[in-house]
Order: sequence, then C-alpha cells, then structure tokens
Amino acid sequence: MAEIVLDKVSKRYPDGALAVSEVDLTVADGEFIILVGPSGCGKSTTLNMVAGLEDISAGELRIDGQRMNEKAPKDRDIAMVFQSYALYPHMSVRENMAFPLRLAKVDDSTVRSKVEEAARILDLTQHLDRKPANLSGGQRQRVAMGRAIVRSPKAFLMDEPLSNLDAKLRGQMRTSVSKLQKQLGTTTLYVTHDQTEAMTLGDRVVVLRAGYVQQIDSPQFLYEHPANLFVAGFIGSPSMNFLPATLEGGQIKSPLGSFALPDRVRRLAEAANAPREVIVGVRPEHFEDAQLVDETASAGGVTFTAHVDVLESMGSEKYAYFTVEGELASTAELEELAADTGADDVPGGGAQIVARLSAASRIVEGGQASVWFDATKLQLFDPSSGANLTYEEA
Amino acid sequence: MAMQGAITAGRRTRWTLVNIVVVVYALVPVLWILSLSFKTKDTLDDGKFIPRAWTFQNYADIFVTDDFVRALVNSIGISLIATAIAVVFGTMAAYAIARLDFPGKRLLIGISLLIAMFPQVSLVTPLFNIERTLGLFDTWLGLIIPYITFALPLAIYTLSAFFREIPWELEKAAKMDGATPAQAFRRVIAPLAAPGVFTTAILVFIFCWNDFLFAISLTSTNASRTVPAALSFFTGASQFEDPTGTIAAAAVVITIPIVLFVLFFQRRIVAGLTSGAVKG
Amino acid sequence: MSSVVSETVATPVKAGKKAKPVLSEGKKAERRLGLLLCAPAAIVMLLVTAYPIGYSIWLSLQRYDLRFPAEREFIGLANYAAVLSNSYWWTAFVTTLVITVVSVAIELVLGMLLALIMHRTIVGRGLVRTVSLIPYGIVTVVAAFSWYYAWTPDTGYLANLIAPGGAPLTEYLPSLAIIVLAEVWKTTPFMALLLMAGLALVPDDLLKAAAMDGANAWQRFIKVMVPVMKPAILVALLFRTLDAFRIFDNIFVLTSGANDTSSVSMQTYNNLIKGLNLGIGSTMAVLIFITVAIIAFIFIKLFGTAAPGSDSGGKR
Repeated sequence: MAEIVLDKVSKRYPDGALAVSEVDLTVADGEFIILVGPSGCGKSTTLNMVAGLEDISAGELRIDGQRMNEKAPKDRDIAMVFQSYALYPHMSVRENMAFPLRLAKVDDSTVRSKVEEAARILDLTQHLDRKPANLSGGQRQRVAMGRAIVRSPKAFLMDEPLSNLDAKLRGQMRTSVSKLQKQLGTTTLYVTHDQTEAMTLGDRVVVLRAGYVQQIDSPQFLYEHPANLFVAGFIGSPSMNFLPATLEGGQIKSPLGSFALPDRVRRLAEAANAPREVIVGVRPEHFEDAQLVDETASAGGVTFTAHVDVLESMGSEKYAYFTVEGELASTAELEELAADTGADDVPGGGAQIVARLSAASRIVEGGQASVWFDATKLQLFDPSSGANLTYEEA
Repeated sequence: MAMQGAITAGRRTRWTLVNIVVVVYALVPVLWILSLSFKTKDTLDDGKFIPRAWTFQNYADIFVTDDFVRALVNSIGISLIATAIAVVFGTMAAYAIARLDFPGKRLLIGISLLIAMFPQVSLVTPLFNIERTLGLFDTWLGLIIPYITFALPLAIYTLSAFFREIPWELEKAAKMDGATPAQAFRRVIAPLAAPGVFTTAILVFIFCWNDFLFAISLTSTNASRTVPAALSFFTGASQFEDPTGTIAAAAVVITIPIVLFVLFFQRRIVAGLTSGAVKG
Repeated sequence: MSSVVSETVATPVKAGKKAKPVLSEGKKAERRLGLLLCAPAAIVMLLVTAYPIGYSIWLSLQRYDLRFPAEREFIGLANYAAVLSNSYWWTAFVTTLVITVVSVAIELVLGMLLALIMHRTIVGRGLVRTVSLIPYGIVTVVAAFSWYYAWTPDTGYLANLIAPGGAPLTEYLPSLAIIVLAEVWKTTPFMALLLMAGLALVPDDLLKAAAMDGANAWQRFIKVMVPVMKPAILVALLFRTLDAFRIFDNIFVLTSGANDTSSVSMQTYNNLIKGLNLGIGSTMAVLIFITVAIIAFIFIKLFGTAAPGSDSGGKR
C-alpha cells in the first residue's frame, strides 16, 4: 500500500524527442488510476518510469515520500503486469507465481501458502502444475495477475493487460480486475488504449496526448466536462460529433441550423470570452428522433431535417449516420484522434454525424428524418486552442 | 493441411508408399556399410545385403590397432574443443547481433556470410605453409583453428535466429519480480537460450566431425589425424590384407554418434538448420 | 545529460560542423558491449581467412616448390600463365562445373519433392524427417566409401546389377555419374530442409484462395508457392552451388581423380600435398577464390533485396 507521487516527471530520449513532459500526479493509497491516450502519447513510458525500467530524465518520483528515481526496479517493491503477460515459458504456473517470492528468499511453506492463496483467488488452482504454453489467453492473463499479487507489493502497474484478449473475455476480465483491486486495496496504475476500460475501471483517469497531461478527473466528470477538444473526442464511443459554428449576438449558426444559445451555454461562453468562430460538440446520445420527443422537452432543443445514410439497429438502440451541409470541424487534435481510431482509413468515414436514437424510432435508411437534439447539453470549443469554452468545475 | 481434404485410406496408403521410398533412399548406403562391417573376409565379396556369416572381427581389428583408436581420440577431442570455442564465441556475437545496436553489425553479418561460402581449399595452401612455420602443422590446434573459423558463421546464424525468438520482455518482468540483472540472466534468459545453444553445438559438432579436406591436408601422422582422414589411409596401410571390412567397421563407429544425435534431436536440428537459413 | 556537455566540449569542431546525434551513456555502453562481444568471433574469422588469402596471393606470385626450396623467387604472373594454359586445370574446372550444375539441379528437384513430402505427409512425419537427416549428418567420407564399395565389382551390389562384369568407377562418364549420385544423396536432405523452411512461409490461406480462383495443384505450386518461396530457393541454391563447387571428399574416395574426374579442389590438394608446389597450389587457391566470388556475385545480383543478411540488422 502506498502513495505514488510524480513530481514534474519528464522523459527526454537521447535523440532529443520529448516522450513525457512534466507529469504531475499524486496517486492516493489504494487508488486505481488509469493512464489513457492514443499510441505514442507517453502512457507506457510514464508507467515504465514508475517501474524503473526507464530512467527519469527530469522531475522526481516518490513512493511513500521516498525518492525512487535512482532505485532499481527490484528495490521499488512494485509489481507489473505486461501486455504480453511475460510468463516464463520454462516454468510451471506455480513456479511462475512463486518466482518473485523465491527471489525475495521467502521460506518454502510461506511460498506454498501464498501461491495457493493467489491461485484460489484467481481460480487457477487446477492449473498450477501446467506450463504457460498449455493455457488459454484468459488463464495466462490470470497467471500474470497472480504473479503480481502474490508478494503483496506496494503497487500494481498494468500495461494494457487485457488488450491481447478477445472482446468477450476482455469484458469479463475487466470486471474481475476491478473486483480484485477493490478486494486487495492496492494502489494501481493502469495503462490502456481502450476507453471503455478507462471509463469503467478507474477512480480517476489521466488523459495524455503527445507527452502532455490533458486532464485528470473521474471518468464521469471527464465525459461530461472534457477540458478540451482532444479529451472530448477521445472519451466516449461513438465519439462526440464536432461541427464548425459561428456565434453572433447570443445566436449560433451551425450546419445543424441556427438557434439561440441556451442560458447556461451562453453564460459560460461569455465568461470564457469565446471567439466568433467556434466548434460545437454534441454527444450522439443527445440526439433523438423528433417524433419521439414531446412538446415540453423539445422546447429546450433544436430540430433539423437530414438524410439518413445508414441506420444500424443494435436492438436496444439505433445508430443513425447522416450527412449535414458544410464541412465537419477539423483541427490538429481531431485529425490526430481520427488517425488513432483509424477513421481516416475509412473512405468518407469522417464526414458523418452519428446519432444514438431510441429503439422505438421509425426512421428509415435512405429517407429524410426529422432529428432533435438537446441544445442545453452542447459544448463549445475554441478552434485554435482546443479549450472547452463551456467548461465548468465540478 | 487444409488443402488436403479428407484423409482417406487410399491417401494414407499412397503417403505410406512415398515415405517408404524416402526411407529406403536415405538408409540404403548406411545399411550397406553396416552390412559390410559385419561380413567375414570370405563373404565380403558376395554383394548381398544381409551377411551370410556374421562376425565382429572387423570391429575387434580396428580397436586393437593404434591408428584407429588414436584417430578416434583425435576426432572426438578436436571436434569437442572446436565446438566449445565456436559456440562460446558464436553465442557472444549472436547475442550482440540479436539484442544490441552497434556500428559494424551489418559488416559482421556480411563477413560471416562470406566465410560460409568461402572455398575452403583456398585456405589449405596458405594455412599449410603458415602452420608449418608456426609449428602448428599436424597438431590438434592446427585443425581446431580452421574448424572454429568455418563453424563460426554457422553458429552465429543459427544462434542469432534463436535469440531473436526469445521474448526479451521477460527480462523486464524478472526485474520487476525483484531479480538483479545477473539473476534475470541466470534464471530466465539462460534457460530459454539453452536449447538454441545446444542445437547449435550439435550442428557445429557435425560440421567438425565431418571435415575431411583440412584433416587430410594439415596432418601427417596419427598425432592429430582424425577418423575421416585415417579411413582413407586404411586403404594403403599394409597391416590389413583387405581393408574393406575394417574401413566399414570404422565408418560405422564414427557414424553412430551422428545417428544418435539425429534420432534424439531431430526436431531441434531441423529447427536450427531452417531458422538460420531463412531468417538470417 | 552530462554526456551532452562532455561530447560538445570534447569535440567542439566536429559538433559544429556536423550535427551528430548525441549518444547517451547507455547507448555508448551498448555499442561498447556489442563490439566487445563480437570481437573474438570477428578476429578469429578475419585472421584465419583474410590473412591467409593475402598470403596466398603473395605466394602465387612466386616460384616456390618445397622440394626445391632454393629456387624460390618472385616470378610475377607466370604461375597463373602456367595454370591457365594447363589442360589438366581446365579439365578439372569443367568437371567441377559439370558436377556442380548437374548435382545442384537434381538436388533442387529432389529436394523440393522431399520438402513437400516432409511438409505435407499425413503419416509418419517424424520418421520421414528423422531419416532424411541421416544423409546430412553422416560423414561424407563414410558415405563415399559406401558408394565406392557398392559400385566396385568385387564387393558391390550395384556394379553387377547395371552392367555385369563392368567396372563403372574406371570409366569417365559412369564415374562422374556416381560422383553426382553420391553428392546428391548426401546433400538433398539439407536442400530439402532449407526449402521446407520456405514452404512453411507460404500461408495456407493463400493456397486456398488460389484454389478458389480456379488454380489446379500444379498451378498453385508454380504460380503461388514458388514465387513466395523464391528467397528460400535462392538461398538454398547459393549455399549448395558454392558447396558443390568445393567438392573434394567424394571424388577423393570414389576415384582419387582418376579418368579426368578430378575437381579443382583435388587439383589444388594434389599440387600442394603430393607435389609440394606452394606456388602453383596458391595460384589455384586464388583462382578458385575468384571463381567462387564471381558465382556469389551473380547470385547476390539475382537476389536483389532478398539477399540473406541484407536486412537482418534492424527489422527482426
């Protein structure tokens, strides 16, 4: 159990590339922290610096108040789970899990009881004498977890531990990782690419982009109040829709129509000294089939008509994709997000608006649809800085 | 496998026949020399595959002559020493090639490749003269040195292919589990590298054991003459009336270790030969 | 970052002229370790090949016969003239080339067959692979003796089988054929293993796709497998060609070079060990070296980027 403090921690590679820049983060004892961001954002480098597998170029890392920068990994008393699991192929499951204890010269009976305890927690008891090669992906993942928990370290570091599993298993393991962490109450730093894991697992989420921390907050807060365009676009699936718009005397002109800004939005935008040209962000779930919205509710929003290109029925809900007049918003951050999700590889993929509609909606593919959206929920962003103009502190 | 469709009895029979052809092809010369070695002097010329009269006399003969026993000792000693040194040097170089970034890496790979293709006979003349000058001619060392040289490319290629397959992330994992660098090497990396090193050792040993050109050119007495070279001198040696039986027996003796290697380590030898060649 | 400072201070001129990427301590240590680990292998290989080759060139320019050591003198290219105008040398050269081309061609076909068998057989795969390794592992001289006895009329089962009363190892063409047979028997498994590694790289899906596209078995082999395997085939051909060109053991045992069956390696050996003529021996050694270099060069040209080692440095 420990508190981990990163104090302006930076990583600069010999060739001059800055991988991580002045990360400030205090992980409370027992907290579950997620590091998330597109590939190359520095999340794994940060984790490796905490682990001691990479040197810290500047700043200080403290565990329980003690400076750790110069300590070897083995002297930091933290365990790590790797994406590839890094199980020792020549050792049985039992030997794999016992390995850290043997290195620490723990006596045999303690080793045995600790390994068996961990195996029981992870449901690996009947596999203890098998070799990793004979295990399924999920079992290997659990062995890797077992090797981490068996010596009760001060903290767990997990580097995309679930990304080699198939989708269904990943969902199940996500729940069990969460349960396990709560049960053990061990401080955990968890790196992931997957924003579902980021949303569901952590107490707090650190969003990184190109080595810089974008925002640190609880998942729900990040979702509702993204600090900037990047966080807004990265968190949420399907992601937020972005459209260019113009502000003029309390009115907003956007491809979705012209309408008066709701009070809350106008107040925040004025306080933030919003420019004339802005980017409007609307989450897919803030759209609805206009026919399903009753009079009183529709007053707070705007209705527009559009051509439905594709309609995906998911059973519990429907995703409607439609094209709107004019261009979609485009900034460096949004392009980076598109590149990361691979959207720029799909022809025409970026030019659409996604709306999540009720399953009761009767709109049809290829037809015109009247769509309503909740204007009070929209967010405005500064196109040049990317900052959220409607950001409010909790 | 999917291309083969269902396995019918007919297919099975056809493949069995094909396999028998392969087995016969590979074994006939071996069985012939084996058969010769068990024939008595009178039945040696019968041209039959199965000896009419069995004898161990040929084996008894070679083991009482100093020539063969000395040659066998030379062969074993020289091959083992050359293998050990080549594998140690090769392991060091292959580790560097597979794991480290340093200038001259490509050059080293290029040099190894050149030497693998080098006409050994081109070295025989100069080495003959150099070794005479240095007093290495007709000594163990005089053979060990060229063996190491020509075994090194083989060792480096095979080993670096093996080393590239080792998941080096395990080294990190071991460090996180509390191991010192030395412990990480000894308890995690070394056990994983061992099979590759062992396979390479077998291949290198076979190479040294097999050599004839250097053995016959750089030796002159049984002080360092190895079995393949000694075999060819049995023909003219006067102490044997008809050397056929004894040559066959000696040939069988030096074939046994190779056959044993092949039987026990087939899978590894195949892996070693193929990985080095394609991925190198 | 102390290394940055020391590097710039130590070589201010260089740093100013060319913006060289500055190496960290760790990187430098890695380079040092890499060079250190490679040093023994590199030194041995260079000392035992480069120096003797140079020495060989030097010797080839001299009259140097160990039977008449007093007559040693520098004679320029006279040895080359002597060798190149000698019909024995050219006979040996042509014989070697013929053996090389014929045996490698046969090995390629047989090796491909054997590779397909080892790769695809549905029964006894382990047995086939194990047995195929025996010719590879067996000492060449031993195998040569087996063939020698097989084809010798007195002791053999083959000599009388084909031409009763004849002695094939005393005639030119039959001798060559037997030499090729011995060579092919011994090295086909090696060829097959190299090719099998190439076969393993052909994705099964690719063959399925070709079958769906209407290719029959032969078309799948020629149009899909062979092109994908091309690098492996070229590597196997290169190694085997150069290896076959050095042929010595088989000829030594089977014919001792009688009836014009001598190879260039045999000629060199005879001049050196039997004739003790270092000058002529060295000349032949140099000529063989040059020939091999030319063969290798032609192959490497054919390889293009598929040359072994051409990109093994970084990517894998």
